[in-house]
Amino acid sequence: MKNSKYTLKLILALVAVGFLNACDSEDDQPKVDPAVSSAIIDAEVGGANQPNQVFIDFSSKTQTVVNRASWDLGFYSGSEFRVILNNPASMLAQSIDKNDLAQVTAEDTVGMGAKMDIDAIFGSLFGAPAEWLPQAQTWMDQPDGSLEGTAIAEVSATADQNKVYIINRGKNADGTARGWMKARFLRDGSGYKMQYAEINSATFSELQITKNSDYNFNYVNLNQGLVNVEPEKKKWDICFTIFTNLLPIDATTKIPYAYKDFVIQNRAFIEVAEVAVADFTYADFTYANSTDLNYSSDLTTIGSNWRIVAQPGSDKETGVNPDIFYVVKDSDNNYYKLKFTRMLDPVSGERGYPQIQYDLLAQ
Amino acid sequence: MRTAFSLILTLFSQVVFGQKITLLDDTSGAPIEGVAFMFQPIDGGYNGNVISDENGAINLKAIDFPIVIRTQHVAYQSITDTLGVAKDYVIRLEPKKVQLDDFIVTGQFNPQSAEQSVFTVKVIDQEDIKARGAINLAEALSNSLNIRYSQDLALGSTGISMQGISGQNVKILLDGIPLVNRNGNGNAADLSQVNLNNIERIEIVEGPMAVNYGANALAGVINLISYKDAEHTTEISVGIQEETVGSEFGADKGKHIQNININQQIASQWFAQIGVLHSDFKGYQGSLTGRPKEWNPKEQFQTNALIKFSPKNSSVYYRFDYLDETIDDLGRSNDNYLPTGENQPFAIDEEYLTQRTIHQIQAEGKLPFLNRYNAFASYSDFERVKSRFSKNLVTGEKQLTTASGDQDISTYKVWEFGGTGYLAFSDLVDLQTGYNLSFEKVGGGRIQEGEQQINDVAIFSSLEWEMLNHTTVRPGVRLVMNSVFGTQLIPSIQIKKSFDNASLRLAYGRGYRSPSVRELYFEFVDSNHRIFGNPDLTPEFSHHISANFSKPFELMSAKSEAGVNIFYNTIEDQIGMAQSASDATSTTYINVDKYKTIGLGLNQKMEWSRFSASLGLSYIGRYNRLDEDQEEELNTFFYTPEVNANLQYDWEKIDTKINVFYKYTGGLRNYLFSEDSEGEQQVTIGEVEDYHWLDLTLSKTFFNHLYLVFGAKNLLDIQRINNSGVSGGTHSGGASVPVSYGRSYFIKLNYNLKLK
Repeated sequence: MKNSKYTLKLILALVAVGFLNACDSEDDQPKVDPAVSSAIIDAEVGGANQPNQVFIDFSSKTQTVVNRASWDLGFYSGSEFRVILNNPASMLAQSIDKNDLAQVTAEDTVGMGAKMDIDAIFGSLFGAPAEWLPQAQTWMDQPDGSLEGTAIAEVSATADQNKVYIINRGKNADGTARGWMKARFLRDGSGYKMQYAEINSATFSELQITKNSDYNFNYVNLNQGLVNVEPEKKKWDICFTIFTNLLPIDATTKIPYAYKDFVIQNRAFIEVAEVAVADFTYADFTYANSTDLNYSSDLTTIGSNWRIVAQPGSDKETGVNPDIFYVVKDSDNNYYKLKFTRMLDPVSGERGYPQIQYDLLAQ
Repeated sequence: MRTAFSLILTLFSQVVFGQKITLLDDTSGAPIEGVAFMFQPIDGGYNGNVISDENGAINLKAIDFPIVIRTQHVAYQSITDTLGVAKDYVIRLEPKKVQLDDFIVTGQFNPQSAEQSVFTVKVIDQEDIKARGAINLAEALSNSLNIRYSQDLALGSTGISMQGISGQNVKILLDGIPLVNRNGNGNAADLSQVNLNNIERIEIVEGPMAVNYGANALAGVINLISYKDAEHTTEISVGIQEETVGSEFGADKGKHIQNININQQIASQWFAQIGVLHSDFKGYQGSLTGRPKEWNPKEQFQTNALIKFSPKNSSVYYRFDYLDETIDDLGRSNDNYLPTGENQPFAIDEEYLTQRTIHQIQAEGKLPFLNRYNAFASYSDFERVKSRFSKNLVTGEKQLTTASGDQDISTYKVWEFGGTGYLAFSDLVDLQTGYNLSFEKVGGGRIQEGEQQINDVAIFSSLEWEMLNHTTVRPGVRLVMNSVFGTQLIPSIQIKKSFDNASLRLAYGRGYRSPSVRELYFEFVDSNHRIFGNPDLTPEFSHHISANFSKPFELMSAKSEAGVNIFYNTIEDQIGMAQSASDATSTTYINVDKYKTIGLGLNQKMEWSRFSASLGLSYIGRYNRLDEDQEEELNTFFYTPEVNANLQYDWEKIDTKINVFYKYTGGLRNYLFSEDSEGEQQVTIGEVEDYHWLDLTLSKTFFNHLYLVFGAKNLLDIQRINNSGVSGGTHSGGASVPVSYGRSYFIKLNYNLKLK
């Protein structure tokens, strides 16, 4: 991606930021990484199956690409003891009334295969209403990212209270099933201890996870142990991913449903506001316009709103939603205007080749 | 002496010349040619059937009086009488109050007037089609009662429902043979692909015609009858039609139509016909800017040819039909920044290329052992190629895209063979027996194994029995053997009773819809959907009951006719989607739902000397059972009113006609999946808004050869109507339903050359 034009922009940006800093006598904290003022990024989502999660850091103009099926669980690094499921793989979990992993056999999972599965849940919509359907949303983490809404209950300091979870590991990028596991989560000093095994296994493994607070979560793959997924929490702003959201199907029931081309934001520091093109054009939007917006720290503020997907019979066209753009406030109080320039590959027409443009708003 | 002489003469004539019966028009006193005159001696024994000659005369020879007679003629009231003594008679026939249309053929034993048909047949004739400036079937039916439209803007197609039942159950026939389209063999047709070039009239039967036409005629049939004869040796018709699309018009805008038809008598027994139509709809930009259009451009070429040989008492013809349609769906410009920083915008365009070829051979005539027969063989080949391109808007480079489902070829091939024999046991009892073979081969990207075949063999029989108390009863039955769903027996019975002038028609029929190939063999898998067809589906079956009463009368010197019509349809085992019993993660089709429609219609026609008017009202209820334990407030019929009116003023002096076509389409209630204040979805009742449709045309003939129509379509400028409460979610459509691109004007010029 390095080229003369970008380099030129970068230099201009450095000059501009340097100039701003020079003028800003009150701010005596030196900025280690001057923010990039303007960039175009082709997010490497990986094409039609969208195998990757792409974490983008605006100020350093970097993207971190991670296979979305490369991890299973995230262990929260803050003060609470919370475990999240791999949402992009549509993982689901529920506890059973046992707290000894060795005592759990396939009998404890009877019937789960026809329910606790993203495809089975969708399939059940076409038939007599399934009694269990309202429970389906409790098998996933609440999509707004609230730690109170995780499928796995807070890890108790009292070991006996931590039940065994049956986990459907969801789907690989190619749609194949990732299989089932059983696991139990315990506190281990200031960190975590996880016990886990195949469903029918009479023995189990243990893994210790220490909290590294440079990250929002510390990640685990049930086959490989500790893995790197998300960059340090101050080093990314938004993330392209497949996202298992809640789709309302009636007055009281919402079901897990996987969205492609979804954008989530960093839960730490990042706030995002949507701007209607009817109010401001992207080109004309300045820092002065950014103060009156409604900023949100909901993970799904951008979500799927940035794009349009044609449905049979509708006259809408698959592509970027041309009516909106965004303003992103990052951890260093930089304000960026953010525009999605394209959704599809310009030649193959495939989904999974998004491109964004962003510009630092001069304060 | 004189009496004696006349007696002798009478006796003499009785022996030698027989009796002469003269049939005269009661109003004008003119002789009537072509009256079917049936007679039977009161003592029975034998009966006869004669047609009056150009002098309105019928000669009866060696008949034992007294006789019971009955007359029949399209334009005159039938009479039944007893002639007591053998002498000459003059019988005056009363002209029918409202001059009805020509002969109809759909489902009939013999071509006859709609008035005489056992079931109700509506006709849209050539004059009507011309007066509307209608090029395709959608335009011709635009203000028909009991028909509702749906427009698919992406595909540019027009679907209909009839009597509240979806278009999958309406069968469109071309001279009695199903007109194949992408979704079905006759049913679920795109009406904008059915051009009326060379179509003489359209016959519409509401209610199941399953006994005669098999599957998918559950709501009714629409039969297009083509021209197969000419009055002159050579007839050449050249036409152009220029139409605005909303307010858009120009070389690259609007709608431009050209057509030419040539009819030629080659020799006394040979007739040939050829026609070409080109219709170029340039699309409608509407409120969109840049490349995309609200209505996509569509260009159609249609060719048809016919050659007919008519030896004595029979005829056979070969007909060829070809349609070529191109729809261009231009995408909007998307930014695309190259690594160099240059923006090279691109767009994703789609093209739909449809080709349909039909070969038909039809024969009819008499055989020594059959009063009449007809037989047909046809082969229809439908292909739609969907192509998706990416186009670099700077370099102009075009390339096929590669996403799943982007490129697709759907094919539908049908071989149909059929024959019907008609046997009159007596004047009062006619029997119709026939067979039908149909072989369908359907292919496409989302069809299991790429191609599937369905074979159907059917025999049918019906009896038309005219009882002496002016009642005709027509029971019928069809036996179907289908390669997918096995054997089915379909009954129907229709009754017509005439009182003085009025007539009452009652019908019961069983209809059925075969599962479509998609429902049987669909295959679609993506990240959220796993949908598979179900080869074990059975047809949807319906019961249809209807009653129709019509009576002509005179009101303030106007010839009038009034009618009342009621119907009730119930469809069992309607095919819906369901979770697969064998695999919880996939969705399939099963026979589960229940659907009912009920309707009441009133119609009134009036004709003063130059002015004629018709008014129709209908009130249709639809009931849909979504699932077995649905909430009570949803468990109800949704009623929709419709009103239509046609007015015509015939200004004979200057050869000019003024027509007004109007229809009110009432709001249509439906189930909506809407969001409440907490953002949760619920099933509620929503409504597609009502709207008024008004067309006005003026037609004039110059020098017998030149025919000019000027018209305004959709005068009230309806474009989209609201569908209240359609909400977001992943599968959101628009909150409005497209109806039209708005008010448009057209001018049509036709030059007809007739050489004797």
